[in-house]
Amino acid sequence: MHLFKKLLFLNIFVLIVILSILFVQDYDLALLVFLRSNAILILMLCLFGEKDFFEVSLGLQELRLPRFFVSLVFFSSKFIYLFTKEINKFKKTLHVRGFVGKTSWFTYQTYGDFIGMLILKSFYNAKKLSLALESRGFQTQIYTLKEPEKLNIKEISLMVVLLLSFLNIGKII
Amino acid sequence: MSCSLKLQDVCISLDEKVLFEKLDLHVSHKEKVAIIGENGCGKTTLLETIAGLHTKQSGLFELFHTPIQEKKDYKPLRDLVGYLFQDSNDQFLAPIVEDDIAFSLLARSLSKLEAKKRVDMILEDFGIEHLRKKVVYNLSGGEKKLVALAGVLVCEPKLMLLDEPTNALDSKMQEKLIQILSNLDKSIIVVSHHKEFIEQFADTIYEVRDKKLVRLT
Ligand SMILES: Nc1ncnc2c1ncn2[C@@H]1O[C@H](COP(=O)(O)OP(=O)(O)OP(=O)(O)O)[C@@H](O)[C@H]1O
Ligand SMILES: [Mg+2]
Repeated sequence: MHLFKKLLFLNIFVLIVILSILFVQDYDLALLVFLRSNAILILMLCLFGEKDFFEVSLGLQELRLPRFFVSLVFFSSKFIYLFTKEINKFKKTLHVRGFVGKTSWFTYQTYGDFIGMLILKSFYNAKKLSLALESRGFQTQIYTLKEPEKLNIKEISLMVVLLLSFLNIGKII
Repeated sequence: MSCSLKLQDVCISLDEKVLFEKLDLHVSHKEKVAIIGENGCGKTTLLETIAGLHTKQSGLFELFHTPIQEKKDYKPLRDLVGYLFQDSNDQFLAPIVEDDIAFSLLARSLSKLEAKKRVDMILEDFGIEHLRKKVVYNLSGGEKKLVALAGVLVCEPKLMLLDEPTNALDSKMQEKLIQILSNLDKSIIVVSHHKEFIEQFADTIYEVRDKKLVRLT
């Protein structure tokens, strides 16, 4: 259900594109764009939608992608996670300290300050991360104690469908 | 007695601001040292320097009898030193508690099985097995401290640098920490504002005064 909601949300953007095509009355192209973009979205959501990015990066590592790339994804996801926490904390602080959003200089200034704080904080975080990496002996690889998961029936069926669609790709186009 | 750490005439500065001038500090094998001082006097910076994360300006810096001039001199000694950050959030490298504790072990190419065994042991020692699968950033302040400390202790370093280990811990956990730390046969340098803890734990206490360390006991 959650996935379906995400799909609907993403379709807003698809809709904009389709409307612009309908404008020039090319119905076939509109249908093709709609189907194809939804196929891509569904595939992506199936692969990444329900997982968090930490797990995705571990998966990328299992697939033997370059280590620096995996670490990049991994630590980016750490920062994005901390960012969202930071934003929530800021909202709480505003609330506690009696801030009400209005159309006033003060409001815009506060939001501006917040963005400034986020940027400063990310500099600080990046610096501390480099210290932590150094003091804990990081060597371009991320680790987990979790055993790699076995292939299950869902994944195998997804693989079969994907393979079939790749084989048929000429015909579909 | 052999000497784990020796600082002689060391100067440390941050952005042109001089924090320490002609600083002397000797820590012998298995000695437990506590450092106290006002906020902002540079205690964290001193620990970072000893941990090799920040380079000194001048003077003699010897770690386990190896003189250290540049960052590369520090490399072979890295595994012998454990550093607990003042803010635990800065220290976490993996999102799940057990993975984070295992990080330095796996980075030293221990096998997964061995790493898991050691992690299990330390989780049990600290009484935090229930946190094993949690996301580190969602833990409470005290729980974060414990997990971070477990991540340092699990590698069995010879010299431990602890930046305010007791803040955010309740009194029961503090007792436990004192008990754990006192039984270790390692050299430990602790920075803390916590009087009771220091008195129970430390063999030697220094205070930062006028950019130097003054020995109190
Ligand atoms: N990155 C930096 N750039 C410039 N100045 C800094 C930086 N980090 C810290 N300082 C300054 O250096 C001084 C020492 O900081 P440090 O964190 O070592 O203090 P501390 O003794 O650990 O304080 P506390 O007891 O509050 O933890 C402070 O005055 C601080 O403002
Ligand atoms: Mg400090």
